[in-house]
Amino acid sequence: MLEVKNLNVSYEKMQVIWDASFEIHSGEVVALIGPNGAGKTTILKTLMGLLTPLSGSISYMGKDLLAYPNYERPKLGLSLVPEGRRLFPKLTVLENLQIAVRTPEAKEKRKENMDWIFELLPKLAERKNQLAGTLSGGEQQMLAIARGILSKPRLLMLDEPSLGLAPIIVEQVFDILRELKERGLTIFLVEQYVEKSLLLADRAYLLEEGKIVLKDDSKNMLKNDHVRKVYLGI
Amino acid sequence: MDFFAQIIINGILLGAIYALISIGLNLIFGVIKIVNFAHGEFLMIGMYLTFLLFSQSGIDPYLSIPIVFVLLFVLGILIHKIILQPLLGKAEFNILLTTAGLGIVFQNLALMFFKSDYRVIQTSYSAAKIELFGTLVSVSRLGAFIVAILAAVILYFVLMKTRIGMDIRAVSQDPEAAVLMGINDKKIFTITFGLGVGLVGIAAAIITPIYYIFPTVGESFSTISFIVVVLGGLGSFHGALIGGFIIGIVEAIGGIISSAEWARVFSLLIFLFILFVRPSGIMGKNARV
Ligand SMILES: Nc1ncnc2c1ncn2[C@@H]1O[C@H](COP(=O)(O)OP(=O)(O)OP(=O)(O)O)[C@@H](O)[C@H]1O
Ligand SMILES: [Mg+2]
Repeated sequence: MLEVKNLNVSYEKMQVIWDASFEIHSGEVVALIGPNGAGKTTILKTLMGLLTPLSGSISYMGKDLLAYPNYERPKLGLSLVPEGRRLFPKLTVLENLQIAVRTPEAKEKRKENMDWIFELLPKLAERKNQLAGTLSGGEQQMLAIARGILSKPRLLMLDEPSLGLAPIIVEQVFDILRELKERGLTIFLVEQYVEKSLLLADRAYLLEEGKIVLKDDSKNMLKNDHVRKVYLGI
Repeated sequence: MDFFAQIIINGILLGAIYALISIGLNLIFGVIKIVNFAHGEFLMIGMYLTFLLFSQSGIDPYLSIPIVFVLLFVLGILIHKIILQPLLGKAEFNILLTTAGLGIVFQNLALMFFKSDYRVIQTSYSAAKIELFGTLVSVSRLGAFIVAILAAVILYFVLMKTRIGMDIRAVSQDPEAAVLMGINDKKIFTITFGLGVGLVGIAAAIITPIYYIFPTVGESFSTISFIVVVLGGLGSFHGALIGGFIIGIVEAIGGIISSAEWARVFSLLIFLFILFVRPSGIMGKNARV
């Protein structure tokens, strides 16, 4: 579905992604793990076109993704739940959801998706006419994920969706991701909860200092000495 | 009592005009985050257009509202696309200088085409007055008030209830997140600039029966709209409305107890006072559309 080859990305003069190659197959959940500052967000932003790579290729469903302007990529079925949520604080909860609905497919599924989301997250339903900025951190994260789903993506990418949330809410976030996985959605997950992510994902990549240093099935990754020592603290 | 009512009514009528002029400036600031120093000159261009439509084709200023709106909307779009857009993301200062420079160019073009003569248009209702709440008010001022309020209401409706309005608000709050939603932020910037300039075109059409038209007419209105916008809260729609009315009323009161020049001084004093009490403006803090 997505194939990234020899990706190099820099900010101004400082290169932060070095020759990264990875792929995501349809129906898979793939985790991207790595320490702070490794370049995980940079990779996601490059996929969405918020950053332009120095070199490398990105093929998505047979198309050259880099040939598409950033604002068209969501219409191709890519959706990113960005780091720090990035909701529109002065739009209502409902507007934050509606704004993601743009393609005919998304419009067709809109009611079904909304009903599903509101059933899953009754708190959001109660607050649908409230400004998004007035929600609690956990509710905002749920809204950000819900917004990411409403565009009816083929590939959902999430950048540290559990960042800064209370443990119970983190559970809830992972419950939702599990449910999405069961529904067959392809997911690319960036997380700092390495163990939880690996238990959810089919495959994983480890990114360190801008380089992909390890790729494997999640099961094997959980057994990997380096991963266990550095990321699982065992 | 009548005297007092007269002042307040005049202030409110004037305030609506100030508010409409300021809303365009504020919309551009709130969404694109650029200060349009050519704002007053767009008003001037709109006034000359209204003047030409009237003197050449006999079109009443009220009928030329949609024409001037569309012409200025298109002018705004072209200027943004050709001149301002390429500067976006580069040094902010360049954009300030560019809009200020555009203002000077427009003034000089007007000077070339129209000379520095003061122009007026004489309509059948120019001198007419009607009674309102026991006081006499000028028909053109009342008309300007009604159109200004209508324009503000329509803009509010467009921003709050339409898809494009929602996209504009989203881009105003977080352009990068808006791109992630599939919104073309550059296109929204261009449309918003056109809309802001078009709104000032509406203001131009309705004040043409009231004010003299000359190449630097935009300057004083531009000063007022900057005061109104900062007073109301940068980027705030409601703020521009409230600010417009406050300055309108203050000027009406000041104009009665002294001269028109002193009235401007009064509004500056009120402006300083309010900023002293509320540094981010009356509707500040939530300073986004
Ligand atoms: N806008 C920027 N300008 C310059 N350097 C940046 C910018 N954003 C990130 N960087 C640098 O690029 C590197 C990778 O950052 P990135 O945000 O992609 O890391 P990350 O893996 O997402 O980290 P985290 O887990 O903290 O979110 C870091 O060294 C960071 O300091
Ligand atoms: Mg990150």
